[in-house]
Order: sequence, then structure tokens, then C-alpha cells
Amino acid sequence: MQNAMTIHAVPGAGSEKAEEKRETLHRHLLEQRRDVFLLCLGFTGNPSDARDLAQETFARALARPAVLPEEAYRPWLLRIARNACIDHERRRRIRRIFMPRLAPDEQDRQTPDNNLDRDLGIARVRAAIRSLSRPLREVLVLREYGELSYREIAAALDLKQGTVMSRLNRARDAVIRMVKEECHEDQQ
Amino acid sequence: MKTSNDREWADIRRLIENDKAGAWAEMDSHVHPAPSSASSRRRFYPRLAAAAVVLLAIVGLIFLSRPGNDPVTIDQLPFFASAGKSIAHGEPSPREREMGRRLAGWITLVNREASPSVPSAEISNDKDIKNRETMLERLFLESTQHQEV
Repeated sequence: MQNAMTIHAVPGAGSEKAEEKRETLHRHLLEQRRDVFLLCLGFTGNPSDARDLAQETFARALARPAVLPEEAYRPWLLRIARNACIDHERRRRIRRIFMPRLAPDEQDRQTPDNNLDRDLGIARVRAAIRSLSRPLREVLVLREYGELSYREIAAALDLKQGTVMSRLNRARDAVIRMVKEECHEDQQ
Repeated sequence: MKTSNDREWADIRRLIENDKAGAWAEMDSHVHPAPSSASSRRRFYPRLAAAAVVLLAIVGLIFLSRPGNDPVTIDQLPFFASAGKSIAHGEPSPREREMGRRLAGWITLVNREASPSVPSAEISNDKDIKNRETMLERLFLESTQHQEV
């Protein structure tokens, strides 16, 4: 299902119209930086990776500027962020295959961010989300971290709204189950 | 009526919200506005002056801490120390060696040319001086050409 986001190329640089459109894009990038960062955080579960991926998202958006209706910028940016996160995950998986010692899992990595993250509950939720399958994780992260509506998620992932809702329910159940298991293991 | 799953999800959602708020606050605290070029310039000159003062103080301390306050000679300076050392150890550089060889050859030639025509080491008049100068110049040119060949 194609959404209403029709992407056009920005016309010749230097013209006033192009300049105005560039300014519009910059304004949207600034407005959406929080949502983009949080979406990346939801996908990676690691603030430093999320920072890098948010920057990559903005770089990609600026490299391919688009003229969109006002309401379409946010889903467009979040879709770029989601693609950047998926690419990052793919690269990380390949690195882990070839260099398991050089690229440990982010959950095990001792970064200052992880050291600061003392809240065990948050760490459990992050780990549970990270261990979901990609279709479930995408829907959950876009909903909870990206704060997209069902309709926007459906448009971004090219799915039906019903599919989005059922995946979301399954994802929530899985996260609850995993967090509970973690709690029981810790208690034992 | 809320099911137990809803309640558990509400708890997890609260954790997610805490996570988002904490991570964003941390992210926001890392972003500092870039200083303007004017303020950078304002800070640059005092820093440069401070660095110069520190450097001068270090140099002064080095000179003052020398035993017996001996005067510093040029060969004690770092740049000239190696040259002074090589001369002291009788190890002239290749360039010095080449210059010495040229000078020796030139003196030999001067002596050879000068000995039959100049019976005395004393120079009596201006004409003799002029002749000597011309001859030396010619010999020097010849020796230089000879060295180049």
C-alpha cells in the first residue's frame, strides 16, 4: 500500500524556491530530532548508537531532500531512521560473524551510557525489545519510541492497519513474557 | 476492565517513557551550541599570551637552573649541539671534508705558481700586489674548474 507521501526532487539549487524548501527541510529536521533519536534508541537499545544513527538519518535526509506536505515529513524522516537502523543491525550482524571478538553485542558492551543506565527495569525492557523478531520489533518501536499512530505505522511499513495491531499485541505479549522471565531468573 | 496483561504493559510502558526521557535528557546535554567566531577570537589571544608566558617561564627556568650559572655558548644550543659534537670528535661532515680538500689543492697551486716569480714573501709595491691578486684569481678559477671536471 503506497502512502500519500509523494516525493519530488528539489529543483535546481540556487533558486529562491529551492532555498525555501531547504529551509523547510532544516526546520523539520530540527523539530523531529527527538523522535528520530528515540526511534533509533528503540531499535538499538543503546544511546550512543542511537546518536550516531540519528546523525546518519539527517545526513541521508539532507542528501536526498524531498518536497512533502507538512504532515508527511515526520513519517518520512522516521522511515529513513528505521532504514538506517536496519542497515546498522545488518552491518553489526556481519561484523559479529567475521569478528566476534571485535564486535560484541551492544548489551554486553561497557560504554559510559551503559554504566549510567542503572535502572535494571529499563535494561530488561531494552533487552527484551532487542530480542524480538524484526517484524514485531519494528511495529513496537515505531509505536512506543517513534510515537506513530497505527495509520502512520501501516503507511511506513506498507502494511494493513489490522496487521499492525495484531503484530503490536504479539510484540507486547512477548516483551511482558521476557521481562517476567528475567525477573524470575534474577530472583532465583 | 483492565486485564493483568494491560497492567503489566502499563508498567513496561512507564519504563519505556523513563528510558526515553533519560536518554533524551542525556543526549540534549551533549549538544552544545558552537561558539561564534568572534568569541573564539576573543578567547584566542589571551590563550596565546598565556602559552607564550608559560614557554618563556620554562626557558627561563632551564637557564637559571644551570650549574654555576655558566654563560651559554652557541654549541650548547640544541640546534648546534650536533655540529659542535662532530667537530670535537674530529668527525667533519662530508661537506667540510670537501671544502678542506679544495682549499688544500688551491694552496698547493698557489705555492707552485708563486715560488719562481716571488723571491721574497714581502710585497714591496702596488704593482706586485696587483699582480698577485690577478694571479690568485686565475689560479682559483682554474682550480675550481679542475675540481668540477
